[in-house]
Amino acid sequence: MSDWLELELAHRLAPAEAPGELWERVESGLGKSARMGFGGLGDVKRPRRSLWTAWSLAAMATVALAAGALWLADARDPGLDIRQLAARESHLAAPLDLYSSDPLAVRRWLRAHTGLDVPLPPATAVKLEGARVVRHGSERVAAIEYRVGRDTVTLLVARADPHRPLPPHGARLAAWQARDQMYALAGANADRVEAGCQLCHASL
Amino acid sequence: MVLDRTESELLAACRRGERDGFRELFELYKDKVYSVALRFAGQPAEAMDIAQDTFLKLFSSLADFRGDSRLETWIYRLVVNRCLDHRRRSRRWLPLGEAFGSTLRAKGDSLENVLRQERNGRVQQAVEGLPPDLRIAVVLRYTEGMSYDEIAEVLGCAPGTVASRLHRAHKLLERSLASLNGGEHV
Repeated sequence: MSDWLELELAHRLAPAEAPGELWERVESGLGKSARMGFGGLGDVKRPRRSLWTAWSLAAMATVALAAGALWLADARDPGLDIRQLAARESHLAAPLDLYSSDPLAVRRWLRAHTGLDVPLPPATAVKLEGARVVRHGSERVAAIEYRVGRDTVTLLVARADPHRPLPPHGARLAAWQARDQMYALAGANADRVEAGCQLCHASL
Repeated sequence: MVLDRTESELLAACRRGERDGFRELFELYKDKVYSVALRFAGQPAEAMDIAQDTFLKLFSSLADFRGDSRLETWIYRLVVNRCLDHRRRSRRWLPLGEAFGSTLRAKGDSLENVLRQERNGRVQQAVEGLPPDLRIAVVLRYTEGMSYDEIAEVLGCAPGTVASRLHRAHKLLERSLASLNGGEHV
């Protein structure tokens, strides 16, 4: 298939966010079903508190495991300076291509638009905002944005070059490599450089 | 896997009739369901109908879900079936009028916005012109980013059939959208 058509379809058929009133419509439909005797939400109970606790613990464990695996991974430098790109992107405040706080939706969208597989753990103290594609020459780099309080943090992901080592962390940037992908993290707020660390270390 | 365990707990909560369980399940899948519906049907009003039907069907038939496939796959099957059923039941009214209206309602009135709307409209119209079985394969591929195997699982056909449908869809789309080739990307 032609590249231009692939790009057009991926761009124009991108996922959309469901309107807020969808739940109201579903709920009202369920109410009608219940009145007609098909079950519904009429007789509902409060969920157990332990469900939330288990979910929070699971999310924290996933984040901790992902962070550990990434930081222990062998570091190498790519042809592309991903840290420089991350610093630039974090200050651009460019509009996102996809606005979603659903880690699975962002992962699928990035896979379709960059070919990169970026497993994103469920956010804890941070809010996933969405993603966009940054074009660097012929390379497509995934840019994922988070909000940490009032700060914006950008996580860049690109394919790694196994022949070039990644330089050590800078004062305001973290970069690492895991498997065949490299990552760089940058915050837009120079006064709160630790904001990006909260993606993995929620208690900081 | 953590997510699977959480999903099974969520399913159990829904089966017990817990309102918050339904809401959580809805929040997890609302964008996926709505996206498939919107890109298949083309119009937000139709997409809302399809998405509503899908969730009503989902909540009323949770007891039937035996876990033979992943919950996500099952939900995709539900929305795909609703899309195909909806198409059989309804005919679209004044599609050009609605497209024109959404262009006028677009935020900002810059030339770039108008061009983007026009381009989006043409691609959407070309996709809507595809036969339903090809169109749904295109939507699952490009909106949801599914592999051929994943699409085959949702549609209940062989991966080779998916490849063939996508190949036919690409040929038809290449022909109907040829004039977009080489234009500036907005």
